[in-house]
Amino acid sequence: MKKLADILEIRGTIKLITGLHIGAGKDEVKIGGMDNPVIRNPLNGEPYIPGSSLKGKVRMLLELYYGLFEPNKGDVFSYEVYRKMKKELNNERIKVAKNLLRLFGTSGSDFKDFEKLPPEERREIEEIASTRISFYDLKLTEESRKELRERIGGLMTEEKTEVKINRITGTSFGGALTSKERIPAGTKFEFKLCLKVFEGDNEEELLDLVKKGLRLLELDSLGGSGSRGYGKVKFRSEKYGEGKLECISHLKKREPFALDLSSAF
Amino acid sequence: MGYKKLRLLLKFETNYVTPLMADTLFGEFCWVYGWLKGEDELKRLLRDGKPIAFSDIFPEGYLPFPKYPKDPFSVSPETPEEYGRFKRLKKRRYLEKEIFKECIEKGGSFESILCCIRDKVLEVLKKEEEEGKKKEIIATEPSIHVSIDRIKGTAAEGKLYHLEETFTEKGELYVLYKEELLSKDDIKEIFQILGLVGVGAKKSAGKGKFSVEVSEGWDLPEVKEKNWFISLSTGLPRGDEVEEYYAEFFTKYPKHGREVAIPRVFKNPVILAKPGSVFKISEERKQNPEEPYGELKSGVSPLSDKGHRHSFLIVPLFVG
Repeated sequence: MKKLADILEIRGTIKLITGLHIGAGKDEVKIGGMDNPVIRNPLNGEPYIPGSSLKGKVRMLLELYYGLFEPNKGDVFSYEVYRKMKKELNNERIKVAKNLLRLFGTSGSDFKDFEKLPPEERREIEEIASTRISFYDLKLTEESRKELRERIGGLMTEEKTEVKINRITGTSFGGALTSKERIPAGTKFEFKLCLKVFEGDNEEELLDLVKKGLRLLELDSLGGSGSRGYGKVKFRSEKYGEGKLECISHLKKREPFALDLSSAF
Repeated sequence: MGYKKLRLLLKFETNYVTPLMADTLFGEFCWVYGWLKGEDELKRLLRDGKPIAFSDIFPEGYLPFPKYPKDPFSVSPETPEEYGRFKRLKKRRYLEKEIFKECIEKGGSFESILCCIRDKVLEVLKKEEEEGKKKEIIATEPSIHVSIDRIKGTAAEGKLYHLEETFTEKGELYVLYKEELLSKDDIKEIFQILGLVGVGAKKSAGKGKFSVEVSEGWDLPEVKEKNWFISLSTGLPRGDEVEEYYAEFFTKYPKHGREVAIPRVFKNPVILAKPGSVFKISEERKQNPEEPYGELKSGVSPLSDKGHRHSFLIVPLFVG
């Protein structure tokens, strides 16, 4: 069993530079309701950003950046994919690949032939297992909650209507009118993620990957319709300013320090 | 060897996926204990048999609704409204703690306490009907997830799945622990870590996060006679510990977390009783009625030979 060396809490705010749409995936349409509603907390009706959207997007961007994904199907980079690709990777990329698996975890299907594997591979899996990163579902900041209630009302969102243009007539295409619910630009969410660091892990390398992942998210987008300008975000720390996040150690007596996303690349 | 009582108040920062049952919490607790203190210390703790027992997590201010199929819970209703109320009474998952306290303080036999609970809950249901509103304390919502195809950048084929997520603001948890093995600070630290990294499924994707406040003792009245208890945990007492019961059993297919690399994540299926099940203790257990009931079972996990145990432990709440 591994021993825990530290738990790092990375926190700050995430600000929407453009409207954000993370769909609720509703299987029902209410009369008079919006076509594409955003995901909301059913207890208080407030929109939120699911941690799964953040984790999925950051993981995908890092895998694309390092070219580490299943090359034929475009599937997630799992231990099984790593095992197949290992021979083609140099030492530097093996290090990154293992850190990606440490951070984002492995799937149960990775271990289906576990007992038949050579001992060194089993040791490697055991060392990698246990997902280090832990994202949070993000809630509105108190300031944004108040502002949205005052400006928009209880719904807290905007409705954006879009239409396809007919290439011949230059007018709107019949039947191609859609509307999407978005959380408006300027809204802020409380951002938090935790990172478990076990003895033997290289904290600096793991933090560097987190930093790169979050910076890539700033450069890309979150949620749906990213190519149409939705979901551009910026991170900020109250303590350290724009493009930075605060990093707090929970098990070691260390002073909080800044995670500077601008120095990621 | 005495057990001490703790009450943990959890403020949920996110929703959660896995129902927060006592055996799940025990497993999560053991992993963090091992990560902090090492495998040898964890094995030493588990050798004890009943080092610590957890209740399930209930919404703040609520307890599990007692399961008691015979009288006084099956009084025949006289009007359609009463019939509707009795139906809702039977379906109730939670009991207001204030009602429980009031009925215990009023005293009387186990049956008269249950009669009091029935009458008070029917009053609450009638009031809800008259006011036309019901306060939501817990809500579940399905959520749809998909993995992104790294080549096309769109939703990956065959990777769509749905989860049932639970939303609640605050939860409560009751703990019995052996003070010679664990301290209040140990338990607090472990729950703070669990709150940070999350509990249950999808913890790395934003679920099961909370902050925790720990207080000594329970805020529940105690009865003098300790014959019957309401189980606060998903668990199962040993056959020699109880002699009568009104329990709701179910088959659970427990899983290992992602903490271990094993080919089969499922443990063997187990039969457990839901919280709210009511048990009458046996003569043997009358010497030490307040200890947790049930046991840490080996043979459930494929890793039993490595010392893995599954918790069947129950935290009792005596009702007379």
